Amino acid sequence: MVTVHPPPGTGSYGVQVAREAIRRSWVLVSALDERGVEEARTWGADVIVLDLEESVHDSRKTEARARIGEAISALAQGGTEVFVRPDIELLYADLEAGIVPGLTGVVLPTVSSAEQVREADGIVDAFERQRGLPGVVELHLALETAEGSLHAMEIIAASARVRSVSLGRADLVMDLRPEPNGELHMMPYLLQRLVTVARAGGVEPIGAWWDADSRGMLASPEATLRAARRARRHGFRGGMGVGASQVDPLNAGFTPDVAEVARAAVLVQAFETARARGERWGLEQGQIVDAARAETARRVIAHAEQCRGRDERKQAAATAAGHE
Amino acid sequence: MDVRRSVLFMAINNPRFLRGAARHNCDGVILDLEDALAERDKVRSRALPRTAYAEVSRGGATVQIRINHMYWEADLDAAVWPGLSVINFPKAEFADEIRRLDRRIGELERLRGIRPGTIEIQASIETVRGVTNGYEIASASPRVRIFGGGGMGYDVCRDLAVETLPGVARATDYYGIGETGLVARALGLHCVNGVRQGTGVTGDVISGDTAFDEATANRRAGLYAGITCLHPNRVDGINRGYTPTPDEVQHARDVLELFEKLDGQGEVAGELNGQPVDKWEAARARKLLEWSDACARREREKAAARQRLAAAADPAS
Repeated sequence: MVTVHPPPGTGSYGVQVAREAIRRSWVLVSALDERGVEEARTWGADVIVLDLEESVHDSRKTEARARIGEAISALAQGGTEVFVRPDIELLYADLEAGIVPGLTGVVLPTVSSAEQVREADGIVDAFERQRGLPGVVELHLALETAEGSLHAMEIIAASARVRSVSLGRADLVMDLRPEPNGELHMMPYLLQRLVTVARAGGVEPIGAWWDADSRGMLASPEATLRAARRARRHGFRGGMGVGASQVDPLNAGFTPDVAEVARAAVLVQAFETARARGERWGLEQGQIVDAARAETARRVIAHAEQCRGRDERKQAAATAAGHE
Repeated sequence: MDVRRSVLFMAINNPRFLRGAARHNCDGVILDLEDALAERDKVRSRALPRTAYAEVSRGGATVQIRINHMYWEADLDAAVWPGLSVINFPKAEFADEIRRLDRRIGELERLRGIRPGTIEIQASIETVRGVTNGYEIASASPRVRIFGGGGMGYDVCRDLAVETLPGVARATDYYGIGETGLVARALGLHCVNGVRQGTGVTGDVISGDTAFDEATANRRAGLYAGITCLHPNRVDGINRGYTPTPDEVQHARDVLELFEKLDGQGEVAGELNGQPVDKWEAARARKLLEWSDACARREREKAAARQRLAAAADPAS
């Protein structure tokens, strides 16, 4: 039985802390990348993901774990939210190092089963209590295997900590390659499926719709902007990237643009004018604007507002940091 | 890795096709008991498989046979003989059908001296019920090693009551193919779903050029499960299109060499000519090299079989 659950921050657990509603840019920084960790707070990312997984060679895991607590504390002082990405096979040790005050959530990679999510939930829960963390450490699930995608609904429902999901890029996505039509093989289907299942499960879909030749996170700023815009039109709310150069394109691409917001305002106006006249729907340039369409337009406007609020808070934090 | 790039369909009751099979250099043949036969020919054609396998495999091709969904029991009894590699089961809709096939094949393997588990089941998803039950069907027997289908071919179109339009992708095409593809990958099976180019058995069935393009697109997309064809013209294009080029092989070697060096230094990523090299690229490179070796081995096997055939035809030489 699949249940829809409230996102962390609204449910019936522990002491709650405020969470950001807007997470457009998720930027991976290796826990070993001292300079990256130092500079990342100035990049303007909505979320920094400190990585203990793919970017850390097995021979250097201990070193990376030893550094991550301090990195989380330092980054959390800036305007960004901080997530940590553990290796799912080394979950206990990585989370033992990474669950410290200042952490917002865990990006759980290569998720294939609900069992893995329950295990992660249990470990997070134990460290959260032991260390007296305020609020709830969230889970973001990267459903990086075909099993993960196939059983997404059940997996999403496995923990109330889950607030967002993505396809990630390991296993399945890295196994898919370009077709002559410029798409990665199977990708349009997988993205449509994810966005549907995510919303049905009550969580946010995260992912950029990369050109087949972009090779995802290593794409240019222009390709990143294109991927973000395209993904947003299909219902995705943010995307993962690496390095400073992808932050602005991700933020911009996942923010409704000025023309879109203006258009939404016109639609809302058309609907409200019609309702005031006692009609059930309005007409805008020959198109029907019914209650559902007006509601969508209102959401676009609200989403743009939230994006602006997020940008202002980041700006304020950056200014404050500059005055230190 | 089993190399079945080009798999040529032929009606089992056409002696000329069977005799010619060894000449076409196809990696596999599918002898058809299903749609290629008129209804009145089905019963008497069941006498043919037992002797046909040796004949059609003289050029080194692996042998498959497509049975009728309705007559599966009688067809299996006629089809399971030494020399057979795959039972193609059309219009699979329920896991129970696969379990029944599996049991009966097991009995026949035992009775007829075939090593247990030799014969694969290739379950074709051709109907809407098959799409919705895909996961159960594909996981119903370890004999299912290759899976896919679900696109808008003749039967899905019939189910949906829409015209079959070869080469036109429609929304239900994405769903059916996407879902069976995902199931195949989740279960670790080879997937028959290739790059959609509007050709194949419901599109252009004769052109060698489109066959080459289609196989090339599949190879570049990392898809190695092969293409079935109805006309021998397509065999050569498919074989060539699926075979990695010398440049690709060299590139794969360079990627692997660099990755091994990086790994030894405790690094996880680097660059080669501006392109990223990491464990994913290394995995692709390894797969390509394995595939390239397997293709070469397959060509040698077929060449040896053809030589034996020529020597037998001309004992004086």
